[in-house]
Amino acid sequence: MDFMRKSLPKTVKVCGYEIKKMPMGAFLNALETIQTAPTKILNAIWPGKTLDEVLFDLKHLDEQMLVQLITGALSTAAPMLLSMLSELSGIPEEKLREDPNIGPAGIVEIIKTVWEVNDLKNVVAALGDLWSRKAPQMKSGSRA
Amino acid sequence: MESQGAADEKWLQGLIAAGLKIGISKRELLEDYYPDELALVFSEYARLSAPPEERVEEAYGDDLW
Repeated sequence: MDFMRKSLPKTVKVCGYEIKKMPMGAFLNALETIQTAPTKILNAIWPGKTLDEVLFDLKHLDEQMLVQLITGALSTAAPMLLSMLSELSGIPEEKLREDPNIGPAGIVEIIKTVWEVNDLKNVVAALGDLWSRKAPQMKSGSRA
Repeated sequence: MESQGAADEKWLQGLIAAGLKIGISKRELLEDYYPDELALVFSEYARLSAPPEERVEEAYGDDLW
C-alpha cells in the first residue's frame, strides 16, 4: 500500500489552495532554490559583508544589534522565504503575502502540508543515502 | 578520460540517459514521475528484464544408470 502511494498523484487543500505532490522536475527546481537560499538571505541581511565579517558581528552581538538583526531579517529575508514557499507550494507569492485566509498560521500550515504531501522526510533520507554512497572514501596511509 | 567529479556533476544527464534506455522520455521523467517512485520503477524494470535464473538440479551418478 505504501508503494502504491508513491506512484499516485496526491493533492491536499489548505487555506483554500491545492497543494500537489511535485513531479521530479518541479522537485529539482525547488531543491536548487533551497540550496541557494541561505547565501541570498545572508546577503540580504548583511549586504556587502563577507562570511567572516558576518561571523564577527554574530560573536559581538548585543541587545541593540539583535533587535536590528531581527528587524532586518523580517523585512529583507521574508520576501525570499515567501518566494521559496511559492515555488514549493505552487501558490502565487502575492497570495501568500496578501490573502487574509492565509496569514502567519496559514503559512505554517502550508509548509507542513508541502512537507507531508511530498513525503519529504523519506525523499531527503533517500537522497542523503544516495549522496553518502557517492561521497569519495578517504584512505589513510601513503603511496610510498 | 572523464574525472569522477565531472561525472558526478552530470548525474541528472545520467538519470535522463537511464530513463531513455528503458523508454521514459525526458519530459515524462521530469513531469510525470515523482522523486520517490523513480528508484522503484528502475529497480522493477531491472527485475523484469533480468534473464531467468538457471535451474540447477543435483544428481548422483548412480541415478543416471
